Amino acid sequence: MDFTFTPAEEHFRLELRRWLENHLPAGWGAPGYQYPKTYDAWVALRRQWDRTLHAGGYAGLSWPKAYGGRGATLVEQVIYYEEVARARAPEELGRNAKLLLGPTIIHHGTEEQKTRFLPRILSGEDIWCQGFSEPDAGSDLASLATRAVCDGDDLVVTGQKVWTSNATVSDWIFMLVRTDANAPKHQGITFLLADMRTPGITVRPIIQMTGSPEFCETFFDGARVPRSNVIGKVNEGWQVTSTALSHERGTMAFHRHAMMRVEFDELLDLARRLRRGGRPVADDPLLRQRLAQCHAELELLRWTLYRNLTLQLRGKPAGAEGSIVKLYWSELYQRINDLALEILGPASQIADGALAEEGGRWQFRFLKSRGDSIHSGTNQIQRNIIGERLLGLPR
Amino acid sequence: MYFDFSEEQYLARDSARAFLAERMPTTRLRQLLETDTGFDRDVWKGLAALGWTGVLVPEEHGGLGLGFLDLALPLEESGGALLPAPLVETAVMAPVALRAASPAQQARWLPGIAGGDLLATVALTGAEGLASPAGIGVRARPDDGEWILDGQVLLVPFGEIADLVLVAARSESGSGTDEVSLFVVEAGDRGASWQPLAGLDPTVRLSAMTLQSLRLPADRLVGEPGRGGGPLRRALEAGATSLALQAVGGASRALAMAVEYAKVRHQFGKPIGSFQAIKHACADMLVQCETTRSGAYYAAWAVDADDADAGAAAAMAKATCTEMFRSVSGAAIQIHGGIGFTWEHDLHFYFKRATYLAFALGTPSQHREVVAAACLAR
Repeated sequence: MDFTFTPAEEHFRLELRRWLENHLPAGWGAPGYQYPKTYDAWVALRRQWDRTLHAGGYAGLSWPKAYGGRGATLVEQVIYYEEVARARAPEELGRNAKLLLGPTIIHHGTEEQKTRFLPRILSGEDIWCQGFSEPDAGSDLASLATRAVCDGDDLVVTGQKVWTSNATVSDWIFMLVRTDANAPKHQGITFLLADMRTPGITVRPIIQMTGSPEFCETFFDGARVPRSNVIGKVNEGWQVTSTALSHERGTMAFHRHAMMRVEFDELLDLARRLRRGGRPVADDPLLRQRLAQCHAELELLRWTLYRNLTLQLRGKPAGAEGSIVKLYWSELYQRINDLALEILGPASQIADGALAEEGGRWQFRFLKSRGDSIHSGTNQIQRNIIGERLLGLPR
Repeated sequence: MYFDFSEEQYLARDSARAFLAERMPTTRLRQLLETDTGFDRDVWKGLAALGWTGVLVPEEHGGLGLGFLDLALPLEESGGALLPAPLVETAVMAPVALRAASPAQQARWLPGIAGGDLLATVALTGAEGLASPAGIGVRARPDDGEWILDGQVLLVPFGEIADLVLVAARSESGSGTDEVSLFVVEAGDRGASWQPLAGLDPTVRLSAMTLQSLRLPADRLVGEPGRGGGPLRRALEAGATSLALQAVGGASRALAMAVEYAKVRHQFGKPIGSFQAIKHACADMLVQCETTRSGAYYAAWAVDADDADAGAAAAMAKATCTEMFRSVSGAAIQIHGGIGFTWEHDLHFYFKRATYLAFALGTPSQHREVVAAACLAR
């Protein structure tokens, strides 16, 4: 066992750390920093951050250099995500496109598609939303029903997508549509790209339980999309989606861990600072037990990630172990934020305004964490995957 | 960055697994319940021949002079087989504590430990558990160049067959770590009496040890008087990590039994493992098992490297792995239904061992308090 990094890896870390210090807004991450208050202001900030990352050579971290990426090693990706979390850098607006769509185009796209789309994904010029889920196709994604009918050089799309995050500000959507209603459900699906300005596409924002309007539903009413926007072959979209998941999605869990660690350290500070009964909350034996348990579980998450990383470094493809990690961090994150409310006590009920502790960020995280056990495959689906693929239990 | 064991360490695991499958199946475990000692000396000689008892003993004393990581996977396997023996005490805690001993003391005890001829155990846990020296129930006072020990220690594993017992004692006045001294009591020393206890886990023979004016010569004191805190802490960290590894081994076995049963047991015309109520329970067991396993392996590395993080890592591993084993073995019984509740089925031995591992060398909540103190102090 060896928990050290090579000099080159350490150099990458230090260089990135310095770069982040120099390029994040002054005072970013410090207590009292005035973060944007509205969704639109956040979008503007994240859009700018995407451009800054691109200019700094940090966009498309895992993409091959031939496609304008950085060609970073797995360990460099891990270091990157640990460092941006440590610096609390804003989440890229184009993250989904860079993690999911880019590798899909690199793997399955034509040369023309690569030239047309990849540079603008990296630069942040095009913002993409993801059109997979539908009102009647969530966990059972392959039952999706948005139709696309071939008509000359076009596909005519009719139906509805939901949870198309950031659709109101997106230029493009990458989506799964049904092109053969008679084929078995996994075989009649096509991976399609559509310009959001196409006539027949309308977007309606959905307010999340946090109050943020990030979610959207997107309607297609006879929208004509050129056939040249199909990635891979018509009716082979399911395979296109499932084969092109990049390594980087696995290393993203390091980002999650590092963010949770940053926030947990803030929670320790909070517990030391707040007082009840004349004593710091951190002296309460029951809360100490819960803090210790969360701290330990965060460490378990970290060491599990490093064990998985070691396997990947030896060439084992990232597999269903990702489901273990997803299940674990999402439920741990909920436990941590539940504990944060307990530590806040009555103050937990003041979510905004001058009397809110730390600007209400704990309440926001508490609410937001409820989405983490739902998105990217609900935890029930993750348990099915673990039970069937890792334990070999029958379907 | 490499967080995995080496080829050699996996080979040691494989030979451990094969040896225990042959020599310590649960049928043998059940036979031992009917014996006086609950211990199989031939099996002990066999695992000594495999080198386990010598891993942490320096070469000049007949050992292999290797590190804790070289014993981690055999320890895990011993937990999987529910090995009824003072393995952690003899092969881990005694050699670690005796690093503080004089060359003469080491020459007296270590070769016998490495060779499988001497069994060691530890008498450290007072009635309060083992969070601090305050829990140590033995007092020592100097008397004309010798030492006189008084007090009682609960939960001494395999004490009655042990050839040497590592005893932690406080000075008459002391209360802090600085006043702890470590002694070795040998079998036959007059003044030590043993009371066998009916253990919740019948496969670990526990005794209460009572010391009444036990007189020990000066050469039974390990290290300096009042300076046993350091060696004791290192022995406890290595011991707690060992118990955590055994918990991981036991839980892996209980999980495998549950999964296998869920595949073959049919109800409503289907294997019960196809029902999500069962499938998801098994998935949760695997998640718990694999995440805590990472913590046990990390603690093993930290102990091996004598890293500054070893204390917190060992405490985290001890608390989380043993509670995981309790939860996983309980869920395994539930998945088996009625048969899981019988004496005939082996699962109750796992369920009971899980409680032993959880409460030996400090309770989970005591270890969590260690973790809390460490992370809140930062």
